Amino acid sequence: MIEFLIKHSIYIVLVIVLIIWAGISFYLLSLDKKVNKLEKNILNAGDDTQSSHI
Amino acid sequence: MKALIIIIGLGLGIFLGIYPGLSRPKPKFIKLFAVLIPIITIFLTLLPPIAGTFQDAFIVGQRSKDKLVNVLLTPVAGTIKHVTTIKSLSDDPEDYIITGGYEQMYAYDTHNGKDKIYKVVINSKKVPEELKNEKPLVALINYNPEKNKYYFHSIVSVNPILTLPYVASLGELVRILNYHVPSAWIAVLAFLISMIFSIQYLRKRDIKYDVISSSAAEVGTVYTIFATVTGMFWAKFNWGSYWNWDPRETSIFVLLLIYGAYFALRSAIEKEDVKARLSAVYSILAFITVPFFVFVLPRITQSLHPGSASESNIGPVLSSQSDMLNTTKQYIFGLSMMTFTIIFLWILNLRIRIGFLNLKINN
Repeated sequence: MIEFLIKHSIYIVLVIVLIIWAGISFYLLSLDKKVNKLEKNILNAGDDTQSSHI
Repeated sequence: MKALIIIIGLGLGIFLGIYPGLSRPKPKFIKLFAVLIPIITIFLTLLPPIAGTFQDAFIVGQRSKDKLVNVLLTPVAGTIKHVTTIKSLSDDPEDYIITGGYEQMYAYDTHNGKDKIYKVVINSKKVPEELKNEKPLVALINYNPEKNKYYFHSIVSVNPILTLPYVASLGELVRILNYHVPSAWIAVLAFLISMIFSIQYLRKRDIKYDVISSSAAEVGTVYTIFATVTGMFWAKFNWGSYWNWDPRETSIFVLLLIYGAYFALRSAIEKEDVKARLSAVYSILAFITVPFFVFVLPRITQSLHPGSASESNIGPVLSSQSDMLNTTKQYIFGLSMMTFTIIFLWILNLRIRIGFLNLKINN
């Protein structure tokens, strides 16, 4: 396994890039969830829910 | 063709990224798409082998005879044969000794739809089994101009489904193209959005437009930094140092300073409407410089960066030399443009919504 990775180092790059992307996408998804929740709590309290979007 | 693929990628990315609205919550399928499509792009960027032609090996060999080049070739079955090298000891034709031997074979180079046969010398004692079949493969080959021969070194990939082009002097580094170029272009898109909503703010005086404008400038700056950092690593391994004040590097640095000043301006003013008005005007003025720093200035000066004024250094992405990037690479590049646009618009969407929530709380 190690020998294969030393010979084909592009797979190491692939794994690192995928891990970084997994982290970014997880962060974005959780942020999206939080913003959705906050929008429900804060914007729905007022009347101008519809007009707040552009 | 190349431009069409890029425009389709960009257009699809903008459509999917903005749908259903710049500040509306994204539907689940768009989020799923935005998570999955980068994974496909990463695989397509990193896994296909680089494959050039014998012509590439010939050109590289003229400059350095030991440099190996990935070549896509089809061995002609049954042409492998052993050739003995002999040396004559005297003028008598029968007085000779066998000094060694090598294997030799013929291979098709299927480039641009034309088949051409090349003779390849195999130095290893054991000939790889794959060479005996008539299947296309990517092999490391070098050309020795003194002996006018192509030498086989080793096999990289057998029967590859997709191959990336060999760009002289870049080699494996050509893969960064899919991350570096889109991020710089998306930064321009971000600054354009920032300018459009700045104009909207000045026309309608609605603070929400200011939120969108400043968010776009923020995300655009992050993308510019990303383009700079990927470019720095590229420069380290291609030009020898991380930073050497190349015209392209200088122009992107000035651009970063200009947008850095935008944020300094915003944080210096306390009153919301004055801040929004002044930064809107600044954002419009700042965008006027963007096309000059990104597209014009590096093209009219001598530079190491592709796309500069020097003839030998034509940019592979926009160049009309169609064989610089093969069709696979063009499609993957278009896909990468789409991916970067979708992710950019998702981040922008989140940033705008957080800005709107901030407005709501502060009022």
